[in-house]
Amino acid sequence: MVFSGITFLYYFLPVVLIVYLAVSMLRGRVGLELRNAVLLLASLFFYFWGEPVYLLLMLGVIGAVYGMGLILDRLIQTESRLRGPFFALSVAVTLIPLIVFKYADFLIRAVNSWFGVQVPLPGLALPVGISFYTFQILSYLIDLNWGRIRVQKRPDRLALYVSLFPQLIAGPIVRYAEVEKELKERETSLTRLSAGMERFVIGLAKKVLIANVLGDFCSVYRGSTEGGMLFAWLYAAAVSLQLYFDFSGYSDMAIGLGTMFGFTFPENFRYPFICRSITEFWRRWHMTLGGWFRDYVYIPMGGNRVSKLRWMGNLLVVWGLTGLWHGADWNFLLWGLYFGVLLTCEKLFWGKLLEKLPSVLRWMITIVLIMVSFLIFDSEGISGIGTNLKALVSGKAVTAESLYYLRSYGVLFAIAAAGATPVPAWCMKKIRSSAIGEQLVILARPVVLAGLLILCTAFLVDGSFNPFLYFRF
Amino acid sequence: MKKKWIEWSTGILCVALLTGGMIWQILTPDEAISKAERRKLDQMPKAAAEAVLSGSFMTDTESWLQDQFPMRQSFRQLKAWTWYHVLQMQDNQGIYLADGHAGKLTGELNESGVTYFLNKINTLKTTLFPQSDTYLAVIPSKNYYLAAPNGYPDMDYETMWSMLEEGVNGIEFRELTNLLEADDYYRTDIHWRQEAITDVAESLLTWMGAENIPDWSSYEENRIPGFYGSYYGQAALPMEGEEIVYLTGTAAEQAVVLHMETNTKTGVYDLAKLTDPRSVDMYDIYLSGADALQVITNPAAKNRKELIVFRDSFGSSLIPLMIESYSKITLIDLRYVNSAVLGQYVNFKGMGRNVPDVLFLYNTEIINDSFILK
Repeated sequence: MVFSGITFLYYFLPVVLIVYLAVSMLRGRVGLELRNAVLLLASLFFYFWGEPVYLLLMLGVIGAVYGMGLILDRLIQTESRLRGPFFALSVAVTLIPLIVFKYADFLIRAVNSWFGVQVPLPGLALPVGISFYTFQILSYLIDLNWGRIRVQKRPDRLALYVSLFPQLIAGPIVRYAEVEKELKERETSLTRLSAGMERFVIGLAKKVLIANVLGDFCSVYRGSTEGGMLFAWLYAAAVSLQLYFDFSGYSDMAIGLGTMFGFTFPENFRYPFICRSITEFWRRWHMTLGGWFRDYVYIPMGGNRVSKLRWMGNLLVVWGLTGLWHGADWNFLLWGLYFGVLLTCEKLFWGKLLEKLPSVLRWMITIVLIMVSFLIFDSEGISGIGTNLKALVSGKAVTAESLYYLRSYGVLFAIAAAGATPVPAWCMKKIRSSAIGEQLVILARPVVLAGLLILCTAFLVDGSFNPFLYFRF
Repeated sequence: MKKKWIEWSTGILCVALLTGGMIWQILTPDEAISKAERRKLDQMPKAAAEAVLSGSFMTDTESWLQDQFPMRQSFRQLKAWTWYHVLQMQDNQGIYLADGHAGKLTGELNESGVTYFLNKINTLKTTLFPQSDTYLAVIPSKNYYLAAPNGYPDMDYETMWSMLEEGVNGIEFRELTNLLEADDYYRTDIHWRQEAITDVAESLLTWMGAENIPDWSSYEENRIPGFYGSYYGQAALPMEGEEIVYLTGTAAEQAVVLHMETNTKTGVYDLAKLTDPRSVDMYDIYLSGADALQVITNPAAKNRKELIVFRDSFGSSLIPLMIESYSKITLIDLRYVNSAVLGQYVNFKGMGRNVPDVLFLYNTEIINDSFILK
């Protein structure tokens, strides 16, 4: 079940919301317990709907982490010497399902290729959301070990944190510390419902009306044999914008749902395409993942407070892992390393030079580098990378087909390009700066959002292209 | 308090919409087919344990709920309107509008498809009817007249013609572009209009040396309003309905069609299709729609000449105009019958010294995508 589907929108969400709001009328401890119970049951049902068998896996992982958390806390309290080894063991145990289900085929294929052996592939299906919930669980264990949070003694609350459906399958990566208090006490109100719904519908529109349609363009390109450089560059732009609108749309929907249910989830994207360097891009793109790797991998490895050589090594390790987190294939590893190399070069070699260039030029260079990165990301394995990149600089410059699709998708490209910048927010701020504008926005908002919801429904009912891009994550 | 209500209105309105949609759908009976889309709609799946555990029940449920959503056609029209008029897309799911017609983008020339087609008809000619006078007539897609002049991508027809002309072996070839124009096709459909192709029938009959060319002035036009073609359904845009016209003369009225698969008989115009709930296409009145093997006999025939036609759906509306010139026409649709077994069902040698003529009658889209021919 995906957020951008009829089943979620017209069945799961209203039922859960109505039951949740009904039990929210009960005050005090009973009210909170019931609200948590409703959300936990809804979340488990949500996961069961998509992964009936792997629900047991997730419950098993939650049970193991709950037990390991209690033991780790005990070892911390008693200042036991076993604390370190046990912490390492608990991290390893948490990572085992991720490694087995996500990376086993990839690793065995690599071993088979390198050593000429024929180890059979397990061929296990990847449980949806495993990368997200594994990283969330790790944040719980690591922060517990570092004394940043208290152990969760209630298994239902830990289960709710891990399985919370708004952020379960596509993020953002919510650290336990960020919702620790809200698991015990949080506000539910019609004001929050409205604010959350607004964010949710905007996210839904980003996904359904922009990302999916750009995905349609990408399918056309992939199915074309005529190609041409213009078509290839349009494809690079379409892939980049599709990934942004899809992923940030999902994050908006998750944040909106969290708000409706009384949680405050961290922001995940902040206009990444206005950046003027790769460093800045990663401060704006998938911020919860970047922050996770920074705090739990990069800094513990010494960050930049080590020798230059080791620093470079740290960067490449972190970015290699970042790439592999997105998918168990060589193109994802290369994608991560590509950014690792670019960031290293920016920090060590051309960062200062870049700052001296005019802003527009810096932006253009960065955007081209980002578009190339997403072509690597979007490729089918290593061979696909060469095909995608070669198309940018070879073949006919312009073909009739590319001109047709530029004409056809031109308005969408313009909307997407403008929507990826702070311009719409700036315009809204301008309108709201006057009393009349403010009144107009207040009155028009519910109508516009309801209209967007109906329009999204129309696109979904028509069975338009509606991919779920996170099945590899 | 008023301010609060305004603040809450977004949440309340959206939740009401979502809940209302759910209740509406629960209360609305499921539909069996979507006439506009010409397809069966998914029905509620059975919740067997195996289906639930494999996840297929969930997938089928999502598909069912999407198919049966209330006001499906209105939502499809809203999407199409936004697609064309707001996003300014040139086509919607491959359907474009030009010169008052809906057309469908066909993509590039598929040379391997054309080669496969040539191999198929050359092999049939050599193995099944080497003695017959054999003809290949190619019907241009409506795109031929609409796409390129209106800036839409289209296939390279000239290359297709030359490939066919050079590739046929013992088969006379002609393409019919000079006999047709865009308005000879339905505005909302892929097919040509029967009342606009009498000149095509006459030209083909003359080309094949047929006798008793029909006198079209003696034919009567019968009109059925309310035809919405397949492109109308796919485009989901408001377009006016059209008339289906079928031409009747003595031969067409007396001719009997034997449907070999079901061993049933009908006339060349099967008006029962108009009231058959299983039929979603009014164009099916011509020869009862898609069928693997049909034999049309003409009791009013003035000669004993026979014709065998390998055809697609364009043939359905053309053949009734040609029956007057033959005593028997056998129709073969290779999309539904394997060419390897044809010898068992069709007499390619004819009766006595009357060796039947053979006509391959295909439109360019089938030739370009000929792998569907068995």
